[in-house]
Amino acid sequence: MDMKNLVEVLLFASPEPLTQSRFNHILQDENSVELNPIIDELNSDYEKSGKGLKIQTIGGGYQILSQKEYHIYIERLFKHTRKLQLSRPALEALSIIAYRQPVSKMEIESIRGVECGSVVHTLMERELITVKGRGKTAGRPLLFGTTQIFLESFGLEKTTDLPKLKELSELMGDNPDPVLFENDYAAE
Amino acid sequence: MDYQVKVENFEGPMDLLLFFIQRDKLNIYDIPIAKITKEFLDYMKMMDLMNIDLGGEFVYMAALLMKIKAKMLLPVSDDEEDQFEDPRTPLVQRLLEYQQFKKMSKELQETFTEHSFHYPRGQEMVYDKNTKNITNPVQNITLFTISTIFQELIQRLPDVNPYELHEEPIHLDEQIAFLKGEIDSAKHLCFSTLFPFLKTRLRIVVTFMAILEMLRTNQVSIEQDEPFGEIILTGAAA
Repeated sequence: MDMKNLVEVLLFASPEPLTQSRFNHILQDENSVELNPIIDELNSDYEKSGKGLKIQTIGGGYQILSQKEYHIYIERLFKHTRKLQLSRPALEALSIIAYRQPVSKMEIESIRGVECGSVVHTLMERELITVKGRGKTAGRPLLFGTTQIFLESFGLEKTTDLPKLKELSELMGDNPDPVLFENDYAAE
Repeated sequence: MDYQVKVENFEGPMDLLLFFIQRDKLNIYDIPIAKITKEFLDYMKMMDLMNIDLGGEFVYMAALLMKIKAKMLLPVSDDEEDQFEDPRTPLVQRLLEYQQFKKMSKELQETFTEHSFHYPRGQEMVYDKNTKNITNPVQNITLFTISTIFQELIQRLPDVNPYELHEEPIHLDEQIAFLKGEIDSAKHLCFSTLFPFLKTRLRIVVTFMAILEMLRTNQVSIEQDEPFGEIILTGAAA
C-alpha cells in the first residue's frame, strides 16, 4: 500500500486535524510511520502541480485546506462566509487568555479594567477557552486557557504560534513602538 | 419621565483614557494628569446627564486619577529625588498593557480572517436558495441614535390618566336599616327585587349578610321554597 496515498485519503476524509497518534491507531499493528515527511512530500507535490489544496499543521495535527484564492467560490457553494462572531470585549479577553494562559478571571479584569464574567462565559460556551486548573493564590481561582477548537478556528499549530507579544519592558524603553498608538479609534 | 439606558460606549475606563491619549496625541509617558482627569470627569458628568450608568470601575478610575493628581502636587525634597517614583507610572504601565492587548486582539482577529479563507473539509451545505446574505442589523447605529429614538418613543407615549379607585364603604348596619325600610313599606320582600338597587357584588353580599343578621336577631323571617329559589322576607312583627 502506498503510504502517501493513504495519508492523503485520510486527510481528505477527516474534517478534523489528523494527529500522529490517531494515525498510529489507524495503522494498528503495522510499524509506526512518521507523518511529517509524508506531509512535506504531499505539500511539495501539490505545489509542483499547482493544486488548489495545501496541508497545514493545526493544533498538533494535519489538516487539508483549500488555497486562499478559491475562498470566494467555496463561499458561493456553501452560501456563507466564516466570520468570527465575537464582540470586541470577548476578543480582548480571548487575546489576554491566549497570551497569559493559564490566567484567572481577576487577572483578565485587572488588565481590561472592567468586569469580565459574561465574556468569559461566552468564550467558554463557544469552547474557545476552558478551565485549566486552579491558582495557588487566595481563593484558589479558576484558571483559564485556550482549547483545541481555538487552535483550529485560528489555524494555529500551538499557542506559541500566536503573533509575538512585545515585552512591556521593551515598550517602556526610550523608543516606544509608534505603531502601537496608531489611531485605531478613527473608524469608530 | 425617568428612564435608564445602559450602554458600553467605551470598553471601560482604560479604554476611555487611551481614547483621550490618542485623540489629543498625548505622550503616554508624560500624561498631563490634571487635563486628563478633568476630561475623564467631564465625560462621567455627560454620561450621568444622559442617565447612562457607567459603573463602579469608572468611579474607581476617577478616584485613582485624583489621587495621582494630588500626589504630583506634593513637593519632592532633593534627597528624596533619587528614589522618587512618578505616581503616574503604575497607571501608565497598566495602560500600555491594556493597549498592547487591544492591539493583540486585533491581530488575533486578522489571524482568524486569514485562516477563514482556507476551507477545511466538513462544511455544511445550505440548500435553501432563498438564503440571503445576513448583514449586521445594528451596523452604523450609534449610541446617540438609539437614545434619540428612545426619547422620541417615550415622548410619543400617550399620557396615562391616573385615577384611583375608591372602594365604597358598605356597612352592615346601613343595609339592615335599608332592608327594614323596604320590608316595612312592602311587608313581603323578594330578595331579587333588591338587585337593581344593589349595584356591586360587594353590596349584594353585605345585604345578604344583613338578612342573615336580621334572621339571627329575629327581626325577619325567611321563606325559600326550593334550593336556589326566591328568598322572600317577611317582617317578624307581621
